[in-house]
Amino acid sequence: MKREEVLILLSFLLFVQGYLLENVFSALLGFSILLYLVFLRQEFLPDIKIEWNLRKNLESGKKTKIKYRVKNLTNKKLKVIIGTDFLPFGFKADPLSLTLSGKENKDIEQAIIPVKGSYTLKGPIAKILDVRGLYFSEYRRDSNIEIEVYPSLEEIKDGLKEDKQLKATKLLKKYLFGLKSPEIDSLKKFELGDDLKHVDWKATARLGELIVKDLLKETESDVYLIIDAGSEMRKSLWKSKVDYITALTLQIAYLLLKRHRVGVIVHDDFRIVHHVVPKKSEEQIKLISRSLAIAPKHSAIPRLKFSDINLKISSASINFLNKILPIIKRRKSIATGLMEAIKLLPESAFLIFVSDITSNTAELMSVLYKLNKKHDILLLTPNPILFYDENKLTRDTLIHLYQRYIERKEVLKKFRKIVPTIDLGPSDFVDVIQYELIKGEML
Amino acid sequence: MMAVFLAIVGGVLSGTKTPFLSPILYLTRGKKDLFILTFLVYCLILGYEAYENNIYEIDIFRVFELLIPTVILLDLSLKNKKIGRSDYFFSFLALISYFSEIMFTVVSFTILTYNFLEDKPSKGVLTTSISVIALIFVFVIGKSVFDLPGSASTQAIIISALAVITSLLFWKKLERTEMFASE
Repeated sequence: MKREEVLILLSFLLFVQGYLLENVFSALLGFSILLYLVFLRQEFLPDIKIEWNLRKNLESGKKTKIKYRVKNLTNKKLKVIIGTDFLPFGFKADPLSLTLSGKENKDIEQAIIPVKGSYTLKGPIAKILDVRGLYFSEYRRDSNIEIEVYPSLEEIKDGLKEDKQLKATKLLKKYLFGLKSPEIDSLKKFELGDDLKHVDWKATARLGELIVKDLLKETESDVYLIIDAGSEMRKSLWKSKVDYITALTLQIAYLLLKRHRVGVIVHDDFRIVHHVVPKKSEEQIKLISRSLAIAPKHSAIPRLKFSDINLKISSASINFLNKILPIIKRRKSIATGLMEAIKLLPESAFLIFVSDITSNTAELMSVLYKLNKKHDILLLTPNPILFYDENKLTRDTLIHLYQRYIERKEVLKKFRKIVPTIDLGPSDFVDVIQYELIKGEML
Repeated sequence: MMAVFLAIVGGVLSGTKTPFLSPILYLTRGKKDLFILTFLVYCLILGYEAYENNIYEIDIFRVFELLIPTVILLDLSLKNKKIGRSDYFFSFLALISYFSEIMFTVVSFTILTYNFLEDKPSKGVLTTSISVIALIFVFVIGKSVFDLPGSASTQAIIISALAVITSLLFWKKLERTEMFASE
């Protein structure tokens, strides 16, 4: 019920009271109250203007401020409430409330905490109320601001503890870069400055003088992180896979950058979204984090696998479709984002693929099979079933998820025959990867 | 605060007890929705207690002593302004107007005018004036018809009808605040 409706009801009750009790005063009181409401309605003429400003580049999780200039264009006192509905999903902010006298301008700030992604913010929505709180009007500023929210480096750094960092780095070196043990190039006589750890005691005993091992120099190789930012990966079922992958990628990149040149290729279903050339500079982690500004796609529905449907299409039709589809989807060729990404890879490098293996299974498998001949590869795949919202589980979804779990298990076995593959859930980070590597489950 | 003093003095002058409940009403002004509900009850009690059975034989000062403070109480409580110097001044005026009904009427109208002038009214004044003039006009013209013994109910209907017609004539579509909605 509206506030004004209660006062209108009061007026009518007073009219009825006046009629039934033969009391003119009641009717006059009802008349006065109704007249008062008509007066207020005539006088409520809200008109404001809001100008707003926000930085274009923001950091996820870091408080920032939207600046407003609110102008009351009427000569009447108004109350203005700037809401938070115009902000994208996931942004945290509190509504702002202010009172403006006639023709008054006020500068105010609204604190917001953004989340990672690229957004187009439409203008703020404000509610203008009369000072008596009976009526209101909505105002929307028609202006858009494009913003980029990058992952916060501080968040990633704080999450890593020093001992885990060292352990993870050692393991990654040990298992992934073929540096299980230093290879001996040759033996030579001990010279001043040589490390006593490298003394070959057998050779020393045989020859009667100190002999040391001359080791092969460790070569620094490029590391490429190939991130799948296609529609399946961006689907936000409960915990966003994209948020998880971003955090994981940054952790791995941060660890590897201490010794190697790390590059990133982010691709979606059709093209390359970002390409960061491998470097070992201090700025590199910032460049990598900016390339990971991927917005999740909100959906409560997991992808359905149409395994029961058998569509037989003739080869002529397939050829026709292959020619038409790129034009429809505005792609340059029939090559997918993954194919475009592997074109950028060097002759030899260590490759870490982060992908949903259920979206383009055949294509991914053939790519990894071909690349495995020349590169060292590790495949990290987030398990979509583990990202599903347990509060939305029903009998039907549970059956569906179990079927998908069984199918996925089979697919994982096939991938593990080609490359080391680690299946990840939302709480798995670098320490789980290193545990999986120790266990040798990938072999 | 001045509305409470005005209502109490008006109650004393008119010989009604209901205005002594106005301080309770004033205390609820912090919660608008609660205030509106208590105001509804207050007005119904006041309408029951204050009795006039013929508009042509009405004690106009008594009506002003009750009507104007009620409207001022409604308006100031909905606005919920901070108590300032003007409140103390007008409260003092309200108290000393106890000694004269004419003075009380003048002070009431002064407070009413001062309160609404803060909003710099324009169209609202015209609408209100037209409605009041229409009411007076109808009863002046129709005296021979409406001024009869036992015609209080008829007069109440005429007043109600004029109120409804005036409202419909000057009504405009607006978004309205819900009861118990957070602002």
